[in-house]
Amino acid sequence: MQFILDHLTSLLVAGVVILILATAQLYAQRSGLEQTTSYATKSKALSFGEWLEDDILSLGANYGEDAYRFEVPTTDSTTGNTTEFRFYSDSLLVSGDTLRMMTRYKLDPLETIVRGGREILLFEMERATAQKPVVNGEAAEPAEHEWTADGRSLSTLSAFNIAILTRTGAETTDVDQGEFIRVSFALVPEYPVEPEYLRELYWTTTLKVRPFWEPPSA
Amino acid sequence: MPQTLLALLAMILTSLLAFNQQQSVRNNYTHMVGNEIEMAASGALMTVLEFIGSRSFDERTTPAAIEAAQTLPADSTHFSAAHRFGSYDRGASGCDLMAPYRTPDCDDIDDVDGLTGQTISVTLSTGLTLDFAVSVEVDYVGLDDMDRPITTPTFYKRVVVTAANDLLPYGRLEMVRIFAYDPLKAEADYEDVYGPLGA
Repeated sequence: MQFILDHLTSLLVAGVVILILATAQLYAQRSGLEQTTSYATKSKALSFGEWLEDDILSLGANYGEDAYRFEVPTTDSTTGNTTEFRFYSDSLLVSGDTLRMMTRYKLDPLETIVRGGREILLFEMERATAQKPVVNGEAAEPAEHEWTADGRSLSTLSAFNIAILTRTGAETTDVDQGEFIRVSFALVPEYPVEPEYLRELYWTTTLKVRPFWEPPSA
Repeated sequence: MPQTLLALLAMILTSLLAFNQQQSVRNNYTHMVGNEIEMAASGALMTVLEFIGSRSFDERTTPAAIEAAQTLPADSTHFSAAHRFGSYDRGASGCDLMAPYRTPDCDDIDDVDGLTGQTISVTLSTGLTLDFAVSVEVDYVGLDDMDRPITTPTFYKRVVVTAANDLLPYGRLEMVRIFAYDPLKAEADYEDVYGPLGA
């Protein structure tokens, strides 16, 4: 007791110094975690965006003059998210036959999480492919079991939207008028750090699809 | 007394350390926010550039001009002079960078030249919007040096779009793209409106 009273001032100062250092260390640690989380989420968003761009810029390959190279995206009227989007390209085989390569994006709801006091419904975007021979210019509709998951999927999406735009930027449901495809999505970090700084990361782009017009008449 | 001074010194040093740490954390946050805003801005500018490129290359290559001349321009001397870029023929309603269908008179690439502070909005998934002030510059460039604007009409137009927002790193983001005259596109755009050329 005597020891404490004799060195009271020193003890108080030491306590304050330790408290300040501990708080600074805590903040630095949290900042480091958030930086890592932010970097990981951004890296994921950029990779996913790159996959989408690669897919969409490749659609319609070898399709010739037929402008029908993707379906109108199916949209959920409640959430505004695109639940299904299909697009096609053709592959010319050595035998001279044509194989239609079909790609499908399907958005399935997963679970509801709470971030920043707000409930967020998470979705998984599953990418699947199917191949069908082209006969007389048409390819049969693949059965559900013929669709194969082909990677490039993501399961931490909070929003996903694909829109078909005309040459002048108007949204359209006419596949023959579509010259641009606008893709936007938002995803959430996998490792939340309380209190959360990064709640959702948003990405968007507009891509010109090919072939982007029917060749002028001869 | 010496011990009190030492205690004071310890407090001062600790405070300095804490302030520096806080500043470092704040800079990290600012940097992270800037990166996120930059992602949204780059997506928006990509959209703007795509829609600028979807317009006719020059006033002389719009469907109406081709219909009047009944031919496609064969060389760059027919294109607009550089001093006629911008408001010269874009019409009173200006240019909508994100929805060109709203401003049909803004129908060729150089019509967007000189636009400054035009607001474009990016709508996030939460319904909130992020606004950017966009400026556009269009210049002719030559094949030998595509970084140097020239006044002589050529087959190449360089478009520089700049988005400004205080949250962006350095306050702005710039994208540059060069569009080349494509007679096939001009003919296809014409055919879309008037039918086959020469029919």
